[in-house]
This record gives sequence, structure tokens and C-alpha cells, in this order.
Amino acid sequence: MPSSKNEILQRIRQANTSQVTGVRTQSTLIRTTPMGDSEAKLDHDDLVKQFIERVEDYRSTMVEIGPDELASAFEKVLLGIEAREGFDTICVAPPLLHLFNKTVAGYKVTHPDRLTLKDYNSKVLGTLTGCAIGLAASGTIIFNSSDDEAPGISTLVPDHLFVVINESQIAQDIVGAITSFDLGRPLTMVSGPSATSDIELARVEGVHGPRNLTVFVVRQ
Amino acid sequence: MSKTSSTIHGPNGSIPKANTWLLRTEHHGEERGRIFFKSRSTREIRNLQMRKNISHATTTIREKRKRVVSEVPNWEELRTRASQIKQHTLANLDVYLEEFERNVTRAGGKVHWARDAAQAREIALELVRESGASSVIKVKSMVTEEIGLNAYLSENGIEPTETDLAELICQLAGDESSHILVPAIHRNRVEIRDIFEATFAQKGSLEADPPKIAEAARKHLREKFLRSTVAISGGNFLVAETGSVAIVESEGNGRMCLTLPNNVISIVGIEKLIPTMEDLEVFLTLLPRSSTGERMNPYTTIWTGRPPAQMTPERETTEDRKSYNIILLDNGRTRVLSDEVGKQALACIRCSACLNVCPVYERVGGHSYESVYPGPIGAILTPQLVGDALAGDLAFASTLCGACYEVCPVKINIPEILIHLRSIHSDHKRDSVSGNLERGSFGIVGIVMGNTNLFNIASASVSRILKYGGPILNKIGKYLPPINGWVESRNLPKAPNDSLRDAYRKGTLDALLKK
Repeated sequence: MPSSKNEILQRIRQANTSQVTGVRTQSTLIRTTPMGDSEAKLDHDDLVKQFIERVEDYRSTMVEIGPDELASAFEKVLLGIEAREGFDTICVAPPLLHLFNKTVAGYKVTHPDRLTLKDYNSKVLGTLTGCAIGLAASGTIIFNSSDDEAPGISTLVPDHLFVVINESQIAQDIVGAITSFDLGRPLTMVSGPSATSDIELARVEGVHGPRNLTVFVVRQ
Repeated sequence: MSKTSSTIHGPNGSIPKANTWLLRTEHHGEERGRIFFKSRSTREIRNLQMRKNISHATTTIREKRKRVVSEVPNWEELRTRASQIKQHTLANLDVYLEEFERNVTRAGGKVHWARDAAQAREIALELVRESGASSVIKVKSMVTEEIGLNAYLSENGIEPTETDLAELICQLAGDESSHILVPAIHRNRVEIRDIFEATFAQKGSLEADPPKIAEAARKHLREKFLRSTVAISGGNFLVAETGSVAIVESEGNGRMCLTLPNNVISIVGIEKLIPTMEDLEVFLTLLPRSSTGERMNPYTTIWTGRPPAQMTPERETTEDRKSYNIILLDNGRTRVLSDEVGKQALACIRCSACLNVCPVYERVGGHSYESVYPGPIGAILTPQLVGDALAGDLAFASTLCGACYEVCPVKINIPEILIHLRSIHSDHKRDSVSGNLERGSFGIVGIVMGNTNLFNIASASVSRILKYGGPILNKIGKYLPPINGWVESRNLPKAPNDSLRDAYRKGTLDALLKK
């Protein structure tokens, strides 16, 4: 009996040799890219504006800040969040740790390496992290598991996700966005908080992932 | 009908029994008998809750879709490109599959090949057993439903848990899914609350309020996410040039399954392949806008080979990479590929846009299609996967209005395939009594319409019959073949006094047309 791999490949070849239609070579494909060209001409300010609007559309919180304002802006946001019994820790991506002196808004600032899975589930209120790029057209943030970021587990399990993005990291749309990464590490695309519409199509945020997404856009 | 199709869809079912797990039929005491769309939909259409929910869902998503599609200036060209990418991939599928396998293997993953449902289930079970787990968590996946994976795992002592909210509701209630995107849309919030209270939640502990219900599911599943060591997923796209797999989702259950357990198994149909990452950009623009009507879905995860394990202090002893296995499934897809017209269906990216615009689906709901794949896409996919003999009248579950073709992000010409499948179906009926009768009557119609005198006599008689016998026929017609099919649900048309030809002859044509 032939292996199922050979059997399947054989059947595909048989099916395809009897076909007369079909686009055989890639060179015959129509040339067009996602979103076309018309939006590509947005100037930088409009691009940032579109990014902010469209991330906000997913019911996320957007905070525009100056170059040195992250620590104070983050503290302010945290003070506005309802405290949750037992959740006394904030996970901060290593490159951002130097901004804080052990605590922020009363929460312990902690390096991801010192947190267990159990901690993320029962102690960590949220995670502050950088990201790879942002896409304005769809309001998307892309993580590529680099050292600038907190680990995937920390951006997924806690209730809050806080992302810092520099305005220079915002791209127009997906064209060229995912082809530019080293695929040795997973890519995660995030557009708003976790959401479901499974019950009577009523939208509910925070089914399994973070309930709230806050994005700090750093303007120069 | 071409010669290839007749050998593919043999009337006596040349389809192996193992490929019929996707059927959701309930007739003749057999678990997986023939589909009876007409009788099932006649029953389903009386389910007012279902109709109300589905109508609300489809109308809402339709409007959202329209809005976000209009933001993409070159939407039509993009559809064409997506369609061509899929055609191109299918025409070279053997090459791309091997390229994908090489790249996954190079990145440390393992590729398995399954010719049918039974083989895919066996491989999956074997992999779960090797890991030593007695339970698995699942990312929502059509293909694992198609192969009946959950039932098989349970029979073999492995407990599967669906982690998508709607799939969890269906699993706990023992329901079939009724929509590709929102499978539990036939249930209302009170029913869902009751289902949860009857299973994992304490009686009287829950309010029938979507956020409260979702919160209960979050708590219930959180425990499973933290404990589980094996996750089983499907896959939205497989990228040949890199060996990457993409999973598109909303709730974060997919990310949980792909991030936390250290063993990931994907089961994916061979038609999910695309050549390059650049192609993925095209599909990630089309899919969410067509599916949920969002610019982008909340979470998309793309990984290659063995994803890194999540290191935390208590997990330090584990390997730094997860084990990754992917099972590439045929299960009838190569048979579909050999059908010149029908193979278009393999381009489907399961967005469910065709369901949301279908006037038939909106009224009869997903269960009427008696298959894992409901709606217009189900009406063309199921008959090809299980064969004409078992598909029954499913290819007739459409008005051929073409709305599905218009919204399809990969331009599958669904009406064309439906007509093709109907001709296959009619050819199989050729030697039956009803087939002979049908052919005989169309033969007579042909003779009458080919002869002016006969046609004049016939049209005059028909208008007289309608004029004088109409009211009576409307009452007793439901017992009289062949007009019973018509009279069952509507009255016979009223005939005008003169036929078009008579009016033309008398010079009263203008008056007739004004009526």
C-alpha cells in the first residue's frame, strides 16, 4: 500500500493533468495590493490620526504622549483603573523597567522572568510592553516576540494590556508588514481587546484574552 | 455531464463511508443517512427563535461588511487576485504541499498526511497518547468537526474541550452548529444560561446577560487553559514558502491554546495552502472584512514549525520549544479537485459571507443543510465531499439569486457549481421512475413548444384552465402531482383574458401591457 502522502500527491497530479482551466503560473496573476494605492498618500500626521481613530474603534483607550511622558501617563492611567482584590503587580517589558522605581501607582513593577503562570492569572493586573509595528488602515498592533516586548503569556493572561508605540512605528497598512519579519519567532497581530459576539451577536470584550487595551502613542 | 464527474459521483456511492462524518442527518434511524433538505427545512423554518436570531445576525453582519468593504478602494481587484492565488495554488498543489512540508520540517515541526477522516483521527489520537495527556483543549475548527474528532477522542478516553464560546455552548448542549462564524446563533441568552447552569455553573448562579455568561465561560475555561498540555487546532492559512501557519480569531482562546500548552497539533485541509507571505497579506485584508465585518479580527497568530515554549519559573525544566505536529487532510478534496467546475469550492476561506446574504439560509437556518458546512458554501461543498447519493436534494437549496457569488472574497461562482451539481443529480435519476417521468414531460413540452399550432392550443387551454379551474385547483392542487409542489405554498397565477399573441392580433397589446 502506498504511503498516504504519495497517494494524495498522486491524486492531485492526476486531477491537475486532466484540467484545462486554471492559473498555472504566478506571473499571470492580476497585480494589486491590499488597500490599493489611494490611501497610501496619507501624510504622517493623518496616518497617526487614522491609527488612533481605528484602534479606538475597537473600544480601546488611546493616550497620546510626549517623548518622556510614559511613566507619568502610565501612572495616571493605572490610577483610573478599578483595583482588583489581590492583583498588586504590573508586568513591565525589560527595556521599559528603568522608567519605574519598583512601584507605579501602588502596583509592584515586576520583570517577566520573575512571574509564574499562576502569578499572571491571580496577581498581575496588566502588562506594559513595546511592539514591532502598528497598521493604521486596520488599527492593528503587531508583536514579533522580540526583546522589546514582554513574553506572549504576559500580554494574554492578565486583564489589561498596555502597549507603547512610537509614531515612527506606524505603517499605512498590511502591505509589506508581515513579510518583513524573521519568522523564527511567532507573530501576533492584535486589533483591540479580546471580544466575542457569540451570544445573540452582542459584543462582549474580554472573553479569554485581555479585557482592556490601552495604547500609548509617543509623539516627537 | 463530463466523464470524470460520473465516475466521481457514482450513484451507488463510490464515496468511502469514512468520509461521511460531516453529515448531520437524522433519518431512518441511521446516524448518517441521506440529506433531506426540503423536509428538514420545512421543519426548521417553524423555529421562530432561530429565525429571529439568524435574521438579526445576518442583517447586522451584512451592514458591517458593506461598510468596511467600501473602505477598500480596490476590493474587486483584490477578490480577483485572491481567486487567482487559490487557482494557481490548486493547479500546483503537489509542489506547494511538498514545499510546505520541507519548511515545517526544517523549523522542527512534523508533517503527517491523512487520506481520510479515519486516518486523521487515528494520527491525532496517537499523538495525544504519546504526550501522555488525557484531555485536550481545542481551537474552533471546521475540519475537526468534518472528521468527527471530538466523538472519536471521547470514545478513546481523551476528553476534548472546545474553547471558542459558541463551540463550547454547542458542545455542552449537544447541539449542531448552525453558522460557520457564530455556531450557537440559534440559541438565545436564557437558553445559554440554562445550558451553563445544567453543566458547569451552579444552578441559579448566572444572569441571562451576555457579559455575565461570557465571564462564566472565561472562569470555567481559564482553569483548563492553565492545566492543559495539548491543544488541537485547525488552520486558516498554510504558507508554502515559509512553512508558517496562520490562525485568525476573536476571543483569544486560539492564542491561549497556541501559547500555553507545550504540544500543539493542527489538522488542516490540503486546500488551505497559499504560496507566499505576501499572499497572506491579501487574505488577511479580505477575510475579516468579509467574515465579521471588521477591519481586522482581534487576534491573528502566525508561527513556523515549533513555537517557543513559554518559560516561567515553574516551567523552567521544559524544552525551550513546543512539540508541533500538523496533519494534512485530503478526505475527498482531491476528488473535488478533479472536477473542472466543482473545484472552485476548494478556494473557500470559510468567511461565511455567503451565509449572511443568502435569502434561503436566513429563513431555514444552518441545521437544514444537515452538514457541518451550512449555507450556500455547504450546498456546493457537502455534495462534492460525500457524493450525490448521500447529498440528496442539497444542491437545490438555493434560488440561484447569485448574492453569494457577489460577496465571496475568493469569487467562487456558487450558482454555477449548484447548476453543475443539479445536472449530476438529474443524471443519476435518469433511470428512476421520477427521472423518466420528468424527462418524458419535458420531451412533451419540447414538442409542443416546437410547433406553433400545438403551442397556441396549449396556451389557450392553460389560460382557460387557470381562469375557470384556478380557485378549485388552489384548494385540491396539493393532492395533484405535478402541480402539488407549486400549490403547497402558493396560489396559481391568474390568467389574463387574452394571451400576448391574441392581444397582438386584436391590437390591444398596449392595454394588456399597461395592466
